[in-house]
Parts: sequence; structure tokens; C-alpha cells
Amino acid sequence: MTGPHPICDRLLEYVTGEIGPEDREAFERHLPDCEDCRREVETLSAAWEALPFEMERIKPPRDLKRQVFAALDVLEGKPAPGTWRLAGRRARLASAAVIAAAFLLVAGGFLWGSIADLFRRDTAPFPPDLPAAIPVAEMEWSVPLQPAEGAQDHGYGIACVVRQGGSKQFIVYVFGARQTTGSEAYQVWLVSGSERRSAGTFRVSDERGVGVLTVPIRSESFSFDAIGITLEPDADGSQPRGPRVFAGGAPPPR
Amino acid sequence: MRNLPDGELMKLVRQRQRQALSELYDRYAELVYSHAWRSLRDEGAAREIVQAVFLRLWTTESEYAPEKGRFSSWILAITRNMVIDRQRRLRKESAHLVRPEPEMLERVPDRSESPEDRAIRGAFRRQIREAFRHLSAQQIQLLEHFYWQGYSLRELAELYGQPLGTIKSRLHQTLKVLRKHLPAEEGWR
Repeated sequence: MTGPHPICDRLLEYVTGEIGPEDREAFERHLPDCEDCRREVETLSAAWEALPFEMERIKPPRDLKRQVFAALDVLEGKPAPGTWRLAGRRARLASAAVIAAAFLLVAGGFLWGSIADLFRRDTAPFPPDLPAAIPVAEMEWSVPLQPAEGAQDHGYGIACVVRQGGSKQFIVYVFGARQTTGSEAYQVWLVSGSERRSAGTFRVSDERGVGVLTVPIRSESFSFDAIGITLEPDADGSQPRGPRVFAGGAPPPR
Repeated sequence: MRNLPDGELMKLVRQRQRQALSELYDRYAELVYSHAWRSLRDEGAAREIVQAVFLRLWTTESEYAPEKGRFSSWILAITRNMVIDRQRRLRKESAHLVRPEPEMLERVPDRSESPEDRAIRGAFRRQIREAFRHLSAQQIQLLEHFYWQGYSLRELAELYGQPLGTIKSRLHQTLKVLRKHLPAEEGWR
């Protein structure tokens, strides 16, 4: 399997995408001079690309397309119609900030490690980037989330926008949330003026009650007046139906 | 839209034409969903992957290059990367190297494939499965761990207690055997 060039040894990593951008380029540069590798790449790639086609085809749930395009609306900053409002009070922001600071202190390492993971292949969907090639992640702003008034649960969370390289993500993280069962899902709502839109849904299957939602965003002006998270009977609703469990205010002015 | 090739649709997606993304969704959502389901065995997770993949098509800066291969291979590479991220994150969070179940193929029940789909794709799938018959149980398990469960070559070396070079040659050999028994004409999509 090793040909006349040292880089020939990376053949398998090249075919399967387990190669960093530098080695990938080096491998591609050597290909015109290496007949062995050209032949092997062709052979192995054909088998590699055929692998998924042994799987059974399963039709996606019918409502999934609506969910995807609703998420696209959020991405593009288009509000969905609605008049539901959060009852959150700015006066509670001070204590919320304390909670957020504690949250970052305790969970910081875990949070950042996980966020870094989310971005690992964010800019190169083809072969994976090496960790060294990942741009530094920077949090643009964050909003603490606390149990909504009257909520039974005692979790906490954070909503933030993280920029990494050319990409930006809106991330909602909750801790200590009740685990979802069956089709139940948490749904994140963003309120702007009198309008409310869904930012997406997530489930909590982790014993620590960890849940996360990530949405790539494009708009520089992504913002909202308030954020709420409800526990819904399923992930398919376009209106809140279940109880509100977390609430937060607007992002800080920039 | 319906008659446009995938590459042309992706160009329209670049120009923010939702209808083009909608058409790509209709063509490929099932493929992406099935792939995610096959790896993760979880409906909620598979839904999230589908959403992330199609939002990625909308936001990605990297272009699909038709001369480099099929659109289906490209979108599945994106899907697999996202699935692997999720699998590796879960494994990291579980704090120890979880020994995977030795999964065999065909565990998933055929849930809702339509008769037409079955007829169209059935022939090629049969050929792939036929080719799998030439693999040993260890080779099938290696593909399961590497392709579907997202273990890296290094993780597999650790998991199997074998040198990295050995893992690589085993995988290389496995793919060669498969290729040898696949039809020359690649009739899948």
C-alpha cells in the first residue's frame, strides 16, 4: 500500500476523509506522478462511496421539511406571525448575571469543549479539518436563562452567539432540565416586539439534564427582545402549547 | 426546478433561492435521514442532522463541484461529518472509551420504504449486499465501526489493540474486496 512517495502512505486517510487540509493538498499534488495511488484512489473511492447504499431507506417524518424551513426563517431573521409574549422582567437581569457567571465558572470547560466540537468541520464539509486548523471561537454575547416564573424545574442555561472563523452560531445550552420522554421536546422561542418565532427544538436525554440547540446564523443584526423555552408534547408545533420552563431577556446592546 | 441537475440547483441555492433548496430537500432528505438513522438509531437525532445538513447547504461557503463526484456522495460526506461530530462528542462526554456493540448489518427494520423506491434502488442495494458476502465478519465489523460508528483509525487501533498500520491495511483490503465484487457501472444515487 505504500508507493514510491512518503505521502502514498496517507492513501486511506485521503479516500476516507480522515486527513487534514495540508496533507490532503500534498497528496493531491503527488497524484499526477503516482500511477499506483491514482489507481488505488479510484478503486477504494468507488467502494467507499458505495458503502452507504446498503442501508435501508427510511422516509423522513412528513413535518420535518416544515421544521427545516422554519429554522431557515430564523436563520434569515424572518419572524413568524404570532402574538405570544414572555412575561420575563428586566429587573431580574442582575441576579441572572450572577447565575450566568457561576454557570460559566463551573461548566466553562465542558461548554467550551463542546462548542469547539460543534465547529470542528464547520467550514469544510468534505474531508475533516485537523483540530489545529480550527479558528478560535469567540462568544459575541450571552444571555442567561433562568427558570420561568412558576416553572417546576430548577435548571439554568445560557443563550449565546459564537463566532468562529467565518461562521456564526446561535447556541442555547440548558443544564438541569427535566429529561424529555417519548416525543416531548423543548422548543426555543424568540420574541421581537409583538412577534414570536421558533428557533428550533431539542431533547434532553442526559441524566444531568443537558440540552443544546445550535442554529447557524447569517444576519449581523440577529437579536430579540426576550427568549423563552417551553416543554412541548412534540417537536412539531408552530405555537407554544406546553409550559414555559426557561426565560431570558434581550442580548446586551452592542 | 424539477428538471434541473443538482449542481444547477446548488448554484440557485447560492443565490438564495428557497425553491432550489426545497427541490434538493425533496431529492435528498430521505438519503440524509436514512444515513443519520443508520448511524445514530435515534429519530430525534436524525431529524437534527437533516436540519443541520440542509441549513449547511444554505450557509456553506464551500462549493459543490460536479466534476469531483456525485451530489449524493457530497451531501453524504457532509452528513457523515456531522454524525461523526455528534458520535465523538457523545463518546467524549461519556468519559471513557465505550466498547461498541458488534453490530451486524440488517438490524434495522424496513420501516416505510415505498414499493417504487424499493424497485428503483433495490437492484443496486442487492449488488452491494451481494458484495458484502465476500467479506469476513471481522471486515464487516470494521466497516461498521469506522464508517457508521465514526471511530477514527487511531481509536480503532486502540479498541482492537492493533498497530495503526494494521488497521489501515485491513480497511484497505476490505474496500478492495468490496470494489472487486461491485458492478463496474455505478448505478446508485
